[in-house]
Amino acid sequence: MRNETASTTPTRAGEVPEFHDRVRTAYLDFAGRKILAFMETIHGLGAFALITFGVAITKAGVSRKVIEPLIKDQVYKAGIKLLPMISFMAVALGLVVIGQTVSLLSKVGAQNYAGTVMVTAVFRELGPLITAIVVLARVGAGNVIELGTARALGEVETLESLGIDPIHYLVVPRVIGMALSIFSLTIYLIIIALFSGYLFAFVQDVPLQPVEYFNQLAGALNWHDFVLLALKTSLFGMIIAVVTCYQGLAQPLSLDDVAGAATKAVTHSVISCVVLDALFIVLYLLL
Amino acid sequence: MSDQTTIIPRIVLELFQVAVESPLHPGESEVEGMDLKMRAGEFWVISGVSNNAKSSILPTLAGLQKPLSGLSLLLGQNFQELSDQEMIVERRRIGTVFQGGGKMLKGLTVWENISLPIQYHLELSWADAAPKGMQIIEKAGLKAFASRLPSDFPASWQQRVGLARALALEPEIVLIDRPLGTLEFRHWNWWLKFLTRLQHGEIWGKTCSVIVTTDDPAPWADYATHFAAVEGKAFRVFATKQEALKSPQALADEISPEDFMGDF
Repeated sequence: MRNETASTTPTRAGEVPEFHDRVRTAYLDFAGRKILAFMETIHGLGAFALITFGVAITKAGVSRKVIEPLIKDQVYKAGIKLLPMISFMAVALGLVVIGQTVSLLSKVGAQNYAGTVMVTAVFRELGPLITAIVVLARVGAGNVIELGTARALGEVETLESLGIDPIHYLVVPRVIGMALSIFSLTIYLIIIALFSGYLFAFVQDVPLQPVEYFNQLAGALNWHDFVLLALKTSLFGMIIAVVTCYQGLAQPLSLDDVAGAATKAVTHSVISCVVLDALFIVLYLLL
Repeated sequence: MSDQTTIIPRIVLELFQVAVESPLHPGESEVEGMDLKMRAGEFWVISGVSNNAKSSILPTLAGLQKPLSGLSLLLGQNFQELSDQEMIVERRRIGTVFQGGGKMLKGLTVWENISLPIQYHLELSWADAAPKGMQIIEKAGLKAFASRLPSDFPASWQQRVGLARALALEPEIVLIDRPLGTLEFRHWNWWLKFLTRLQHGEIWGKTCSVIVTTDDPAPWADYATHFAAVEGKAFRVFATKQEALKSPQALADEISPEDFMGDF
């Protein structure tokens, strides 16, 4: 009888495990939903990327007179228009990173390593990543809004009804344009950053001659640095274009959903670029 | 005895027991058991009360959306069995004009909107596509607006741009969603006359089959050759225009909020 009462009437001590069970279930539920959503996004993005590359290849020569101006327009938006912003970022990067590093290395008499540090920090890592993030912020987010609004207003259906493949007309020019833009802007940013960094070191009276500095840079660079830089920056551009186009186009949106899709696209693009960057570190270590 | 034989025009659109999918609720049907046989040069009016499924059937008729069930033959072909490339070629033979301004592409002027399909499919530069584009613009009475963007353009004329763009590739069938919409009387006259001329081949020199959807079939009574209606989930083809004008839905004079609740 006493046992029965104890089992049916919840005691304070008996409530604690029940509460913990509920919290654990809630956490598992939450984590499960997040994992499922993550898997769905990866699946959707992967499928969208494959479709895009399939269309880009099979329609490589189709309607060039329509598609080429769209690519040029994208290069203008994601490349030429961003030159002032990238110049500012490059000078800041040069002053903050290179200038400081050269100055510090000189103090400990290790200025011979300046070139290696520059190449590792700016050429391989910061240059491509900063450029990608600037392009994402200035153009990628706008892409989602532009395409999401077009989707919500029925422009995608219009293109389909005219026999125009929306992936060919809306996505492929963005993928090519962004890949070209991020590649070119990264080279531009690296050159300006290396010059501005040396300028800062020069102003600080660091005993490092320009010829010596650029010889160090040249010595620290290998052929694979150029190949991997081209590959990495192009992939950054493609990832940003595919992710932003996917969020804007691949699902039915109302105008109210567009802002949320833009936030998601920026988050997914940053994560994807950082993951890709990490994969490239492995490649650099192997080569 | 006359040896004259009557040539029966070919069938351009044929539907057998088609179920049309709802755009808002994928997997659910909006219209069921739809049968339709349309011959070249016919002018069909599909009516239905506001907010029913008459607009939803157009993407299925145009081959843009797969039927949930049944068979749809467009220009003698089952679009669902065509490859993407074949479908793109076939879609050039069908013009679709969507409701509410014809869904113009935002960044392009009226002239660019109309020239885009010409340029894309015929691999032409803007300059090379210009003569054909201007010819259509003039036929549609849009010359004064040619260089304007959609945002800088009267809404009542936008549907006309949609029509001009749909006609750019000289299609054999044109589907138009509620062309008269909220337009004023003078626009009505233009639409009714222009579509009749298009049907009779006075625009391109070849006949064109026309399908329009409308809330009220009355303005089309003297122009259309065939009438049908979407009533609930049923698609009904009328034997005569008198029957169409007397259909219960055409005569309904009350509107209820319940008619619109399902979509929200």
